[in-house]
Amino acid sequence: MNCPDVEKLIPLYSGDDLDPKQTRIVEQHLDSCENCRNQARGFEQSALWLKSNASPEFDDATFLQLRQAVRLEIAQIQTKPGFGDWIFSLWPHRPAPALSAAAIIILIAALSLIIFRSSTDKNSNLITVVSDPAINRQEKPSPTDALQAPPKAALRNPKKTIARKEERLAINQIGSSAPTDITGPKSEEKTETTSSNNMLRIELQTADPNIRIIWFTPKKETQNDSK
Amino acid sequence: MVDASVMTNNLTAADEIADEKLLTNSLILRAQQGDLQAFDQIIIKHQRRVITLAWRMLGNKDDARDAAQDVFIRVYKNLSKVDPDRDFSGWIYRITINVCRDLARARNRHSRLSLEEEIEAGNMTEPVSLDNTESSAIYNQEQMIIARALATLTEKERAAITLRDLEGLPGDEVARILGSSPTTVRSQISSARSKIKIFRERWLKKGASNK
Repeated sequence: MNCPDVEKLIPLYSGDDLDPKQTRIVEQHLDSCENCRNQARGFEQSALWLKSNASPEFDDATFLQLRQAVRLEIAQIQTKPGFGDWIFSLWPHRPAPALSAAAIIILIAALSLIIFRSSTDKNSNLITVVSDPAINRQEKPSPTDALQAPPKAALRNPKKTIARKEERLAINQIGSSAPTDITGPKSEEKTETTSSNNMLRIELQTADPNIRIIWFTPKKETQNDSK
Repeated sequence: MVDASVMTNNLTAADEIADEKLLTNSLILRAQQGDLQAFDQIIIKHQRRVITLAWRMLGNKDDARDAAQDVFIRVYKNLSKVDPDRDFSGWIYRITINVCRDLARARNRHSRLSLEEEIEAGNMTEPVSLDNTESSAIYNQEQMIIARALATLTEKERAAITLRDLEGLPGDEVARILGSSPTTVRSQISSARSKIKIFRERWLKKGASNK
């Protein structure tokens, strides 16, 4: 082993952190190399210097203060009230009102949950309307459509694809029946119906002026007639 | 005859260790049942080791005392999770290292400055000779230099060299306490020893050139 290799091992050798085989190799090298021997001596002196001065004196008063501070903090932990204690502390010796308050809180939470769920269901219905198969039946896919909407995107987000198809359908309808409300008034939310021959056209203006939802569905009368 | 006396001595040492472990286990069990006197005894048994380790990690006595307080509060809060048959001292070491890391980060101390930067910043005076200063002052001065030398290390190197060289724990135990592999810890120890040696040599050289 040459000097650079041994120099890498000397820090560990000085602290007896090498395995016996490595220790033997380093010792053999040190016997014949004065420079590395000096290096090893330097590490030993450095370790001694560190050990002899790295133990500060702490007096008994410091330890006493430490224990008192810990005891005080433990006492605070032990006396700190929990949530239940806090509820009961509001009505000392009267647990019934505390339980009533707890029951009211639980009831409110349950009602909120029910309302939230019902609103979520409404949203999911809206999505169903958008993906009404009646509209899909109206559309005849063209080669240009296939170019505009790559199949990968369709696989990634089918809802988005349906929305795009509807958008194109709406533009086609505008082209044929020429309704002019695509650039109409920008209200927060607007519902508009436009009748064509057999279809009912519903437009929803979202808060974003660039996004308008257009929905086509067969008229009820038409459906009844066909029946 | 000699062999018999050695065996007797070994047995006595083993007995002492066993007694110590029994006493510690008993204190832990009593403290777990809410005996604050027992917990006080646990603090007394470990306070010096904890505060010294904290000083070595943080570099000043006030922070070391704060850290020690935090350590014993954490020990108290987690006492119910302690298995008395496992290494309680190692667990306290681990808590101390973690508390010191948190405290050092919170106070944003131990920015690793070079020796020259430290002197320029007025954090360190230059080496003094024995002729013109009292021994206690020299001792304090040396301690300050040691603290600064340790502050030049990274947090992990400082923890590794403190546990290995100053607390005298075996390398494997140091690795276990620090949650690192023995190879990583060996590398950290090697790097830390080299940095401390370089720091000391530069410090001594600077002192010699100023004389």
